[in-house]
Amino acid sequence: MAKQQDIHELLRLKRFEQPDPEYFDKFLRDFHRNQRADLLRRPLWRITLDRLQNAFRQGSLELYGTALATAAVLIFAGITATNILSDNEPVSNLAALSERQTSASQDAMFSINANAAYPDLNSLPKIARSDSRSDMPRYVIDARPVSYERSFSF
Amino acid sequence: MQEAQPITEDAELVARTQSGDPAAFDQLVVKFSPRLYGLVYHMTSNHEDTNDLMQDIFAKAYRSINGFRGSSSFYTWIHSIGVNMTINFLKKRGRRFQMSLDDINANIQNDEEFIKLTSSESPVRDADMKELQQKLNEAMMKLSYEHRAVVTMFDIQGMHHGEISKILGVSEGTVRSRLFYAHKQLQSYLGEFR
Repeated sequence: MAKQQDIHELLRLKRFEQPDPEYFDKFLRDFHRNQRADLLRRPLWRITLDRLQNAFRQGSLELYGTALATAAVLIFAGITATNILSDNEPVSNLAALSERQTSASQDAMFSINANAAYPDLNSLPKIARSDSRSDMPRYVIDARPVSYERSFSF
Repeated sequence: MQEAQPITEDAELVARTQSGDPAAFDQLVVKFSPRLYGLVYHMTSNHEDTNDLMQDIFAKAYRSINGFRGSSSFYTWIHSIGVNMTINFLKKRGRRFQMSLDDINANIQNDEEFIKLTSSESPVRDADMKELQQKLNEAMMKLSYEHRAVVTMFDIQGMHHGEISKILGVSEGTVRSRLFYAHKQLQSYLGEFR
């Protein structure tokens, strides 16, 4: 046991191996500097994640309750407004549809004319030829036929 | 010893840190860095490594302070971080180490306890201080990391078995067992000084 006590006393000498007191002042300054450097080195997502974790861990969710509630109301209002606007959509859809159809038929006609520089007459729709006056162009003014005669025929 | 220190004061500083007051953590750093320095230094036996580890330990403690629930004292918690990080560092570093023998405080020549230990009745009266330090460091470095941690906390820092068991997360019986085997090893290494 005496031997154990000797070892113990020898080891107790080591407690005097301490740096100067100034070391600990410098240590604190270095610690602050390292903290700042660490903040600069850390990516933004990591800082944000840490802050979120801290916010939830500290139960400071109540502090942001108002902001969260406002955000929720705004989101709800946005969704409602979107739904209201989408109720008017059929009218505009119809207009858009008819516009699209007109455009498509025009395109089709243009493609026929464009593809056939010299269109095949046989492919064109047959027009019944007759000398009847009904085949002549009708000039209509105020829904009343004016004449079936050509204007230059006196 | 820590028991005599107001733990409630530490708890208050921790609470202030957790609520976003970094100055409170500074007070904890100032309060605990000398003791933590002793723990880390006597495990690494190198001043530069100790300095780097101390920075890392307090940085980790600051980052994790919100996870500290107060189930143990801050003293136990910070020492637990310190021991674990130092053991991890030593495992990475391996057996390489450098002696730092110039760190002894010159003022200890007037320290009452030091005079008593090195008095004529002391078994170390004729030992050259530098040689003694060197032998002690060498002997400590031959211990395993776990044994070294226990010896540092018990023999050098004067902690109780109960405190050490909380810091290391082992039973008091394990602490006593490690101490017994560590002392046996040290006796053989330091035989010439007995």
